[in-house]
Amino acid sequence: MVCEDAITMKRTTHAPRRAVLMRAVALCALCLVQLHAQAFDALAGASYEFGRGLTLPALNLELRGYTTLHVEDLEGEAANAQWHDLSLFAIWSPAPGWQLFSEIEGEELLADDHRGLNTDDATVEIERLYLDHAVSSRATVRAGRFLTPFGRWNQIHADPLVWTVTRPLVTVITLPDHVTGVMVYGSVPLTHDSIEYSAYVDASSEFDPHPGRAPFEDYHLPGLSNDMEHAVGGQLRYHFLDERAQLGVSYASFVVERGRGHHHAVGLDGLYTWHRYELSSELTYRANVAQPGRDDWGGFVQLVAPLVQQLYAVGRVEYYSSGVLLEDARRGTVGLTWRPLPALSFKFEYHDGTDKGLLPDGIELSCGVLF
Amino acid sequence: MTNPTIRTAWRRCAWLCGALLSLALPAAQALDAAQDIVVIAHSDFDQRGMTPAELALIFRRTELVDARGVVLVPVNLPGTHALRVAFSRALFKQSPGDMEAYWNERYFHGVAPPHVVTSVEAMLRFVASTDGAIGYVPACAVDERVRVVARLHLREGAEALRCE
Repeated sequence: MVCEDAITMKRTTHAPRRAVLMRAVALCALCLVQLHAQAFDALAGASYEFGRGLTLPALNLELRGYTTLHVEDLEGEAANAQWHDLSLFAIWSPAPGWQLFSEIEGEELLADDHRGLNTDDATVEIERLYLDHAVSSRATVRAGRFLTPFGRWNQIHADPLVWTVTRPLVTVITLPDHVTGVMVYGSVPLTHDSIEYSAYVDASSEFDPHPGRAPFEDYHLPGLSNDMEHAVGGQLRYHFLDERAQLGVSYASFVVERGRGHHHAVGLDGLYTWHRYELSSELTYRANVAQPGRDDWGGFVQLVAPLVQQLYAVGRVEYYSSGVLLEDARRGTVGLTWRPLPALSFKFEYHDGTDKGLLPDGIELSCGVLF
Repeated sequence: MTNPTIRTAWRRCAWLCGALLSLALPAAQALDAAQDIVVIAHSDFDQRGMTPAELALIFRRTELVDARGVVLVPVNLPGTHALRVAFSRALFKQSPGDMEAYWNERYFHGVAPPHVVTSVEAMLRFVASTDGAIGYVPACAVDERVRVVARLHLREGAEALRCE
């Protein structure tokens, strides 16, 4: 009797627990089914194309990116190899006419140099983050952190898109490569051609959480800042000859973090393509208002010529005279670029210049792919 | 003094030429129209007589919304389709393959190339059912489901304009 009572007691105390457990299991199963169904819904219509990314139409989301490997053998330095970039883009269109763009970039994620295989210089940062709203057929408003619309190179600087491993000095040092602020941009059709415009206001000192800490790409420039404090500027770009030619004029008035006063910069750039040949150039003049006589000016001219199939020869000469650098910089670059697929490029280049402190002479190779 | 017989012969000849011309002109115009790629849009689209420069901005995806604020959805045929190649050459003076570098640059700025449909009939259906959609078909394929907003005349490659 005592035993039966005990068993009954046990049953009565365990029964609610078992029921709760069963309910929890059922709930979990339901959640899993729901999650699976949601994941399935999210993937409905998903498509991936090499070089064009993953499209998830059910979420109005696109995921893309590019990655780059670098090998360099420069004078006075040990040869080294790096997994140089891994950039991931997410493009979300929450409503018609609205688009959120983010680019998260990992730099120098893995290196094989005099320290051996290491991740000592690895950094991850938000390269771009902005919201676009198309307010009319001729104007879109952008707010956030975006590439400075000055010249042409800075806005397409990703390795798979440009012809050389290194950037021309004038596209790096003249003014910071990012704006944190608001921009209005758009295109206006002419009879056969079109004009693209942009105008922006920067307020990096208010919005940048780490002002004055952005590094320069490719170059060693200690003591100089690649961050705006505040700026206003704009660009006009004329597209003509059936889009085979472009002519751009840029202007910026700005103060940089840890900089030497207020600057005005004016730039002129051009691009002409003909039967796979490409001629491009950028020229910039930067005036230092606070310290006359410390103005900068410089530019480059680059020619790309097809050799066989998708193999191209590249040559570039550049010059930069600076009120900040100790001496004027001159450099010549020759190289080969092979683009077996539109989204894939292999580059080899040799550069020789007077600015050894900024960039020693030597050989650089890269492999870049858009995915 | 001109011989009346010769004058009468001249008159008859002129009349005959005029009659032949009046017959031939519409035929030539019809032949001319058959050489056109017709750019079509959703029936609510309120622009007509668009210029090539305006169309180029839309198909390059630099113009993203129309005058009403509706998002523009340019539509392409596959890159190897003869009509796509003819359209690309007529509008951009470039083949679809030549434009890969342009789309790589746009890709870097978060802009994808136009949506692709597999056939002319799919193009008509998509454009007819999607507000803001804009595409192209041969002149012989256009029907009342869509609005014609422009015509692009082909000087060569008219075989691309055969109706399926």
